[in-house]
Amino acid sequence: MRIFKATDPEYLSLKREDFKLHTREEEIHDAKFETKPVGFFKDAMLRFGKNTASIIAFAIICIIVILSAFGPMMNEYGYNDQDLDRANLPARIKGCEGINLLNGSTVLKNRRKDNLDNTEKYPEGCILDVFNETVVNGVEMCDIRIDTYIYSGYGDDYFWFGTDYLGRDLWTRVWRGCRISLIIAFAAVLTNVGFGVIYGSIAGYYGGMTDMVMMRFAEIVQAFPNIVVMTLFIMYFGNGLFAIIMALVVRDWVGTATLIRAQFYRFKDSEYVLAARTLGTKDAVLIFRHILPNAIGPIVTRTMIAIPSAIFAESFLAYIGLGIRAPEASLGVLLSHAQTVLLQYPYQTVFPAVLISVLMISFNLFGNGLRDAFDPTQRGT
Amino acid sequence: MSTKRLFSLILAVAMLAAIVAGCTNQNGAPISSPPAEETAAPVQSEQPTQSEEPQQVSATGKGTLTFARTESIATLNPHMYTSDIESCCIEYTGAALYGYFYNDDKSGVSLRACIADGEPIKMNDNGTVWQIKISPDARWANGEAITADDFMYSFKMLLDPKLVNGRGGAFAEDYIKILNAKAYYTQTEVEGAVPTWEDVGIKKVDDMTIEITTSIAQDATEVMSHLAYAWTVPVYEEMYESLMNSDRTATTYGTDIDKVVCSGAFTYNAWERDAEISFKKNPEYIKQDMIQIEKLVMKIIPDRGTQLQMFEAGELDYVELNSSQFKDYEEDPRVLYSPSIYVKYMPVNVNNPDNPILSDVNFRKALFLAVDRESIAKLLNAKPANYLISSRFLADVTTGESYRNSKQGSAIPDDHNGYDPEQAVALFEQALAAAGQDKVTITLTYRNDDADMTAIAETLQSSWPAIFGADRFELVLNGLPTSQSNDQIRAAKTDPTSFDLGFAGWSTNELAPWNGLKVYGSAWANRYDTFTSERYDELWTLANSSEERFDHEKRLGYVAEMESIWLDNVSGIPVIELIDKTLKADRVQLAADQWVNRVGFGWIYASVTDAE
Repeated sequence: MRIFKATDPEYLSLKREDFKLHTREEEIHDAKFETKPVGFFKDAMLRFGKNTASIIAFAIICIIVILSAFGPMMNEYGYNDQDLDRANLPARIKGCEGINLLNGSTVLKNRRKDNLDNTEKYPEGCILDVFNETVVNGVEMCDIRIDTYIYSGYGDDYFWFGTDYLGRDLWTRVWRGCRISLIIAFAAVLTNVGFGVIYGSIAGYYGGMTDMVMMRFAEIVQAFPNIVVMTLFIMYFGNGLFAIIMALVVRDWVGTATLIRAQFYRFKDSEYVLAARTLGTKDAVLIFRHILPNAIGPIVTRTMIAIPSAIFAESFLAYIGLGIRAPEASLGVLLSHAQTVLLQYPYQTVFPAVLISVLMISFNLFGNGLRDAFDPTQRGT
Repeated sequence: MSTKRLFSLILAVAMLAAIVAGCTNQNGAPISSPPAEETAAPVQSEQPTQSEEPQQVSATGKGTLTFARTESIATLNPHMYTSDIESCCIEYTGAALYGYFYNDDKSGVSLRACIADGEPIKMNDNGTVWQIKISPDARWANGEAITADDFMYSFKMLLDPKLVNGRGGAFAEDYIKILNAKAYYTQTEVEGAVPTWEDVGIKKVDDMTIEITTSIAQDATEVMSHLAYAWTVPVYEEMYESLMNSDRTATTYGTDIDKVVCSGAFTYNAWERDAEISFKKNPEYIKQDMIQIEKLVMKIIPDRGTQLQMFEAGELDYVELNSSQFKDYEEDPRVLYSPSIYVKYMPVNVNNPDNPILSDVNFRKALFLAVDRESIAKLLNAKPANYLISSRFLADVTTGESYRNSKQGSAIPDDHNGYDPEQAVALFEQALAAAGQDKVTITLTYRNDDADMTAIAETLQSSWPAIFGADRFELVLNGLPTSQSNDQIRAAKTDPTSFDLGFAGWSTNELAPWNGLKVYGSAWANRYDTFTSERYDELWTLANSSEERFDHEKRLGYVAEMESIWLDNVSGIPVIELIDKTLKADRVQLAADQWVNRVGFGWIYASVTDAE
């Protein structure tokens, strides 16, 4: 140990009384921030709030969710109330008489001109326009625009989205179908995220042989073609709600598991984890309290982006004839039927198609906004 | 506003404008409609027919007839085909000994010699030996003469026990029972020994004559009918042999158009799998003077909406309309109507141990009586059917009388087309009491890619609980794609729990209902029904094999009794009989002004006026 000795005479002349303990008079403390503290989520939300497109998308999603919940209750028709006499009526909304798509009119093609005066067939006032007059095989023909509601004897009724092939109200069925699609999507995504998180956490935390075995199994599951797996699953378990949700989960959890595993490899050797382990913290607490929260951003982002994929997958299943069991409807089931009559009854396609498009775009914009908010380094990717 | 944002805004507005323009196009002419002057050409009659004056027919024909089918083709081998479209191709390109043609005034169908030389010759008094002469004018498409050796080889291969061709069984026994043919085909013993080919009742008499020996007495019409099936079309020996595998258990004959030799009205021109197959007129065809068209083009287009668009665009010459498409053409004079061979019915799995109430005939009868056939038929532009045999079946080919219009066929009461909800409820209550159940849940398996079936299924799901009580009856719908749905119903043979109610419809022998009813008998391999009745099987044998079948009225009586047994047992619940609607282009001139059995609208005999 080296002792410093003063040689300067000025210092040598200093007495003990010349010294005083400076810090004892002014106590030093950690100062409080003058602004409110900003945590991880707060920070993310602040960033999210600056993303206008995502905010609008979120608002649209909220409106759609509300309408899915309450839309079917907004008129007196049940989703399975059939009336074959009012089948295939186009959309009709009060106050929209000037818009062809919404005024209950439709075009009947290839009509005999000599039949147009037959009021038994065409009730008075139902023919709005006669056009495209031709002669086919010596018979005078034309196309006519009619008020379908008067034509069918439902002149006082209004079906906002029209009716389907069994006379069921499409407004009710579209919103109920949207509800089913959202339930399927949310349930499927939450299930696969839940399972994937647990699976990936265990594999990533323990590593070694456990990780090797678990991830090889996951790779085997992922190697099966998705369409084949989903199809076989529904063929075996039927096309109920639960079976369709499980069909969407059976393979899709692997992506989440892989993502979480990577997060665990990134954080499990951090000093704070080592410290917690040294203090005797149990594995489960380390996994779910100390490491997993680091992955919450990617999990939320992945969940939001997976929802439109699940809606799309459900629609795909409906298109190959494996949709939800009738008389229940989903957006996919409605579209699947509507596209077969696209040329005859285009309104049956328009409403569910617009809704599913808006839903997909909104979820994608919302998911992108969340991703940018949770991890700004990913912005624009 | 930045340039980028301005550009985005302009782009969005342009897209919206395009969408709105598409929506409002309904006000104007349809996009696919040809200009008025093209469609306004006056035509002399609503259903133009061939001119009365004989037309000059060139050996190569003139014009192209283009049409579409929804199914794909797997094989062109007449011994193995399974689907209707394959049968169609084989009938276009192959000539059997006998065939169905227009009668003289084209008002009906007539069974006549095709490449046979006249009717079969009865060689013994009891009608078990028949000789068939082959016309000296019969030729393969390559110009070689068709001889007795060709038929001997074809029939031998058709029955070959190693090849086990799918159509061999029907050739051995259907209209006629060829001596020892079935035993040879299945390699089963007869009188202690398995027959060899030499024991089978098919012999060559001379180069242009074959002789068929049957195990029961037959008449000439039966022999001709049997030898008019598409699977009796001859195969070309040299090619068939060259394509045979080393152990002679399979051949690739007919797997491509250069692996088949034609003998019929057309030859194969080109085949692009799952897209298009085309045919050109065969100048060597024995009846080539009946064919005026140079070329047939069959496009494979699974979507009927696309087919209709192509027709509207002038790319197809005729197209079949489904019930939703028919809406736009119900008053169109170009629409041709024809009876469908199908009665759509719901087979009931009477043996399902999971749902034993299905075995109660009262319960099944209750379901039968609770079907509002008229409403369903109106919805689907079809005909209500509380019977099994459709209007297309004939009681008598010579007169063209429909079985449904015959004395026997019209005996089925048509009160409200079998709809009686009150009686249905009474029977339902009886069945429930007998089963000791408070509520019944049954599952209806249906093809959800078929709009008509989906509509029927969903209608019943709503209407049956309304009749029986929603708290006492539930119908669960199990919609599946066609192949899975059919498989599930047919699986009942091995898994009795595979279905409760299904959907089915048979395309069977429309000219002989007594024969066609085989598809509901217990011996039919591909059946949907789980119903079995010894009496039914006995009646089928009586109507097809006994001496009594030559008494026409008696045979029709057997048919009526068979149908009655099936209906009384409610093995299935008939719903509707479809009505086929076909939209024909003006440029196609049909040979006859009406649809007839087997020949249909006679598309291959039509002429195309503006083929250029």
